[in-house]
Amino acid sequence: MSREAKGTIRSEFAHVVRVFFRHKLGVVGLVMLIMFAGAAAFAPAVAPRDPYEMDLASPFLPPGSPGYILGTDNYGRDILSRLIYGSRISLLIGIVVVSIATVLGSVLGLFAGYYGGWVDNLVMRLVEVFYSFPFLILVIGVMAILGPSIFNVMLVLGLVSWPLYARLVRAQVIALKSEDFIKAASALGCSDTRIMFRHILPNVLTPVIVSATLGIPGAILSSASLGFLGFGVQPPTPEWGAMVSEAKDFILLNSNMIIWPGMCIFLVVLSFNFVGDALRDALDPRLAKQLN
Amino acid sequence: MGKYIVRRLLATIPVLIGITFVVFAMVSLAPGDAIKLMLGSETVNAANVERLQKELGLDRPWYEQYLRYMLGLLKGDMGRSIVYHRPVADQIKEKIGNTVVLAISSAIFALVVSIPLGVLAAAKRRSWVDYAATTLAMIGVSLPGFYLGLLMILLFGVRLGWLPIRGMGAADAGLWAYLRHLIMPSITLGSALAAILTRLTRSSVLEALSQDYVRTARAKGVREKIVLYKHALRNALLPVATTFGLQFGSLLGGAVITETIFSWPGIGMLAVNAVKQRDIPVIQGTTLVFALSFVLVTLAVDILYMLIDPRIRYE
Repeated sequence: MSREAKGTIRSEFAHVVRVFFRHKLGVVGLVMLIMFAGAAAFAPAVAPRDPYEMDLASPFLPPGSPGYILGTDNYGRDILSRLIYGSRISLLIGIVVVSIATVLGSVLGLFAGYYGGWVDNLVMRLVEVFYSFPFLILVIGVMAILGPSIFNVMLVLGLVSWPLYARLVRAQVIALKSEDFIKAASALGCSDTRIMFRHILPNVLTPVIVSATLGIPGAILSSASLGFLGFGVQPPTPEWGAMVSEAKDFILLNSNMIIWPGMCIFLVVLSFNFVGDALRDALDPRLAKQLN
Repeated sequence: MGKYIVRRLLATIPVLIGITFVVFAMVSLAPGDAIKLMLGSETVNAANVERLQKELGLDRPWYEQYLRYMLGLLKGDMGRSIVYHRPVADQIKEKIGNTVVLAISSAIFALVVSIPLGVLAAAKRRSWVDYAATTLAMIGVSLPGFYLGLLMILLFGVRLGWLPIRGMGAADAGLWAYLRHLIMPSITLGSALAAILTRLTRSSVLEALSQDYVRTARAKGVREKIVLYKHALRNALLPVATTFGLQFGSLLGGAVITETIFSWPGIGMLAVNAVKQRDIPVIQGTTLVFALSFVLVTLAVDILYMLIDPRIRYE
């Protein structure tokens, strides 16, 4: 790569960073996400206590009790420590689910858009079938059959979320297919695989990245909903949705147990939405212009 | 126009086949020991397992099972609940009305809040109304439905004691009591949709306001109110209507959660209980009903859409 080309790439990157940081809410979201990620990464060091350690002598302690900053739950477990460990689960689920969905969706969308014909027809019919189920219903149905576990939550949410990305990539591929550089690549004798993955894919990544960022909060919300319904990650694992679910049995007795885990879900989802919006503005000026 | 409708109807056929196939395949997806799990408290022995397999028709080849399943569906037969030993269709018939009422009142809530708020935010761009509306919308999209529901129960049910927190009240308690039971579930279920539609209405009206016909209207001295409501809003509502139709599905999905929180006896709660009891025929039945109603709503929206906007017919 020539020095000049490198310079353009660097200045483009600098431009993206500049536009992103102009977005105040995007920066707020980024800072909050870094805090959550830090809590997740260093949970054993940050958490004041063992999240599973019960103290049956002191259940339902209010926030600010000595040794328990946010109080304790019905088993006398430290709520703050459970929330900190819970951030590991939610972030992991969000990222893994979106990774599965983007990879699967992009590959299928790439094939559908590039080959057209019956491949395209098959993939798009499949997309329609997936779209015709209310998302959560389909997920619950499949989870019911497979049984609840963190692995199944990630697998099922990932396998059900791909159609969005397939549609997105397909539309982009169809638009790109008639561009001169693709024709040139094929005239030079590049194989279909090489054209798809080396020439087309890099050019459709931007909208995929933006949708993926906005897809993570959706995945986190869905997994929390599953946890809440009791079909996702199971107690005593400190998953936030499952924590709210445990707490709802004590709603008349103690509101503290409900408020904090729900607040964590809300803040993480909000942060991802802020960052996603800012990223869209920075990476895709055309789209941003349309929306504002 | 008739041609369009026929084509649109024909296009739903493969989708319907796909849906029934996915729902049908749910049983086969179940790991081998699902049968044993479904037996639950009954003794797990070879005879019982075989009996249940026969009852579910699992001893036949899959295409025969699928055909039988489809023929049954056409006759309105969705199988029998393993737990209650009653036809699934009867259970669904009892509960579906409650879910429809909840979905409609949530949709009304979402529309009544979002459209005026979105229009106001766009008309008074960058004012405090605009910032309040966009902030509210952002909160609405990010707040988990179950959390909002529980927070409302804590505030209006437990702390203030204004509203009932569960069920739909006694059958003879009258309309007002019924509506009071409906308030919190509808807000819980409708808030995310309200947030999405507020954002969309705002951006859609803003876009319409930048069009040439709006400039023309303003130039010839039409009053701003009329420009906003007659010229801009009419065109801006089209994408809002589409999204509303498409989002109706997620409303149905959310009904599962809302009905669980408020013990609202609809098919969402039926589905959740069926999952807890591993009552596979009921899980299949409720999933199918949710998917079918979603497809029908989308179909209706598409056709209505065509009636409203003649441009689509020429595509």
